[in-house]
Amino acid sequence: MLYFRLGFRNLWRNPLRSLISMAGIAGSVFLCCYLANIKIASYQSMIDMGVEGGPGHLVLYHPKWLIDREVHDLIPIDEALKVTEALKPFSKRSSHRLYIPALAQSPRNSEGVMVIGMELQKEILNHPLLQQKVLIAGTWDFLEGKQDALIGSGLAKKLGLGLGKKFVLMVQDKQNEIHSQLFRIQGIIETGLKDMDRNTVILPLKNAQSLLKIKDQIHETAILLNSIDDLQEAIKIAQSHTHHSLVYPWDEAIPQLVTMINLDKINGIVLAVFLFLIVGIGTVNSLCMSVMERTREFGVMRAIGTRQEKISLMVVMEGLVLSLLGIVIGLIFCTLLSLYTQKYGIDLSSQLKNIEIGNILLKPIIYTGWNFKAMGLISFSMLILGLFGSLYPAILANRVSPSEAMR
Amino acid sequence: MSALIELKSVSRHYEQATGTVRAVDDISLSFFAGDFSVLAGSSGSGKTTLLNLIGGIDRPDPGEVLIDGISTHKKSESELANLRLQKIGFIFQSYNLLPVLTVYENVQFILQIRGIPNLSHADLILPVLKRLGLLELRDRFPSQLSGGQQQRVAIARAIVLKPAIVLADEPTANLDSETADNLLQLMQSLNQDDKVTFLFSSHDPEVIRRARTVIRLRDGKVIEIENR
Ligand SMILES: Nc1ncnc2c1ncn2[C@@H]1O[C@H](COP(=O)(O)OP(=O)(O)OP(=O)(O)O)[C@@H](O)[C@H]1O
Ligand SMILES: [Mg+2]
Repeated sequence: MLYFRLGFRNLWRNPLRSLISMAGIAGSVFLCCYLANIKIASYQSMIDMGVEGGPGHLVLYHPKWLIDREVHDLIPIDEALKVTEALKPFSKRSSHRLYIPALAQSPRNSEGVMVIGMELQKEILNHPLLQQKVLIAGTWDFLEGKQDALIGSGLAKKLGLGLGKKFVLMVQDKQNEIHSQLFRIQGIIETGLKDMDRNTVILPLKNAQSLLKIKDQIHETAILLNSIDDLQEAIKIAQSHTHHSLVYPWDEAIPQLVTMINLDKINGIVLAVFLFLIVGIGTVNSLCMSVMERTREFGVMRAIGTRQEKISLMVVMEGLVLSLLGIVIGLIFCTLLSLYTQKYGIDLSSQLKNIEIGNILLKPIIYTGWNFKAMGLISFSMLILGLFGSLYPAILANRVSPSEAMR
Repeated sequence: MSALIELKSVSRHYEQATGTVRAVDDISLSFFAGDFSVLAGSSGSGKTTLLNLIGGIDRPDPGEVLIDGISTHKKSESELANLRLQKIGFIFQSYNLLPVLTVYENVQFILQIRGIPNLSHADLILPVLKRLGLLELRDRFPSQLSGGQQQRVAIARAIVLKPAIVLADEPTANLDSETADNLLQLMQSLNQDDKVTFLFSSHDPEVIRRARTVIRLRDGKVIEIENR
C-alpha cells in the first residue's frame, strides 16, 4: 500500500511527463482494443456473407468437388433432400445449386461465364448478393421452363446486349458433347462484385439442369443453421444420410476466407507488437528520467535502512500505476467508442466504395463488436510491458549509494 | 560500560588522479550511550566521511567499525541496511524528507520499512510529533514547511524507533543562526530528558559550543578531544 501510494504520488511530480507516457499507453491500448472490436465485427460479417452467399454453415459436395470443381462432380438431389429433411429442426434454410462453366455468345461477342443454377424464388429472399436493389433492370419473376436468364451488368455490357435481348449459352455435357441453348435476358444485376458482375449468368435450377442435360442432380446443397453451436451435431446427422456426397463445415468449404482472416489477425498482432514496443521504450525512458532526478531521495531511503529490493519495488510500482492508469483510460475510451459504433457504425461510404474481398462484399460502414478476449489480452500485455519496462529503472534506483544522502 | 560505537584504527582513502586523499586517516574513537558529541572541523576535514563509516553507510579500509559490538566489515549491503535500520537514526544536512509524503507519512515510512504493523503506528508517531511540536503540521508536505520545521521532522523520523544513536551531518548548515540554535536546544533536551544519544558534525562555533564532547578533525585526523 505504501509503495502504491508512493508510486502514485511520484507520478504527479512531473505531471506532463507522466501524462505523455500515460497517453502513449492509453492510446495504444485504445487503438489495439478498438481495432480488435472492429475486426471481430468485420470477420463476423465476412463470415456471415461468405456463409450465406456460399456454402452455409454446412454443405454437401461430391467428394471431388472441392479439389477440382469439375462440372461432373454431381450429387443426387434425393440424398440432398433427405439431409435437409433430417436437419429441419436445426436449419434456417437450405439451397441447392449448380455451377456450370459455359460460353455466352451474342452477335457482338463471346465470353466465358459461370452459370449458377439456383432455386430463385427462395434465394432472392436471402442471398446477400441478390437483394432487391441489386436488380438494375428487368424483374425477378421467372416462369420456369421459359428460357429466361439473369445476367451481370458487366457481362451485358461485354455482350453488347440489353434487357429482353437473346444470347446463346454453350456447355459441354456429361458425355462431352457440346450443347447450346438460346436465352433471353430477363433481368440485369449489379452486385458490386466486379468478377461476379462480369461473368455470371443465373438460371432457375431446373433450367440449369436441362442445360446440362441432367435431372435430379446438383453440385451444392448449402444449409444454414439456426445456431452455429449445433454445427457438430448437424454434421453428424447429415453424415448418417449421405452416400454419394461428403459433408463439410463452412470453414473447410471456404478455406480462403479462414486463411484471410487468420492473415489479417497476424497483421493486427504485428502492428500491436510494434506499437507496444514503441510505447514501452517511451515508458522506460520516462521512468529512467524520473529515477535519475531523485538520486538524492533514493540515497536517503537507502541510508535510513531501506533495502534495495524495496527501492526497486517502489519504482516498479510507479511503472505499474502508470500503465494501469493508461490501460484503464484506453479501455474506457475504447468502450465508449465501441458502444457508439456498435449501434450506429461509422459510415465511410462517401469516402470509400464497397470493399471487395474474394467473393464477399463489405459495405464501408464500420461497425464494432466486442472482442473481450483481445481486450483482456492487450491490457494484460500492456501491464506486463509496464512491469518489464520498469525493471531497468528499478535497477538504476537501487544502485544509488546511501552515501548520496550525505552529499 | 561497553561502547555503542567503536572505531579501531579506521581509515578511508580515496584514490584521485592528483594522488591519494586521506579523508579519514587512522582514527580510533568510542561513543557511549548518552553522548552528545560533535565532530568539528573545517570543510574537507573528513566529517562526512567519518559519519558514513560510523553509520555503516561506508566501510573502512583499513580498520574496523563496531556498531553495538557488530563489525560492519564483512556485512553484505542488505545486512548493513538492516543494521542502520535497527541501530541508527539519521539526520542529513538537507532534503531529508520524501517530498511526496506528509510529515506524518515521512515518520511512518521508517516504521513501514521496519515492518511494524500499521495498527501501532499512530501510538508510536503521535507522541514523537507532539514532543517535537509538529502535531499541527502532521498533514503538511515538506515543501510547505520551513527549513527548521523540516529538520524537526527529520529528527522525529530519526528517533521514533529509539535507535542506539542518532547521527546528524551538519543538521543546521542550511538554517539561520536562531533556528539552528533552537534545533540544537531541542536536540539537547532530547538528549537530557529522553536519553537520546547524538553524534553530529558542524563547523559552526555556535553549534559546537552546545556539545558535551567536541572531537576536532583536520585532514582526516583527530587533533583534539574536548570533554565539557
Ligand atoms: N567520493 C569521494 N571521492 C573522492 N574524494 C572524496 C570523496 N568523498 C570525500 N572526498 C574527499 O575526502 C575529504 C573529506 O571529505 P568530507 O566530505 O568527509 O569532508 P567534510 O568535513 O564533510 O567537508 P564539508 O564540511 O565540506 O562537508 C575531502 O578532501 C574530499 O574531497
Ligand atoms: Mg560534509
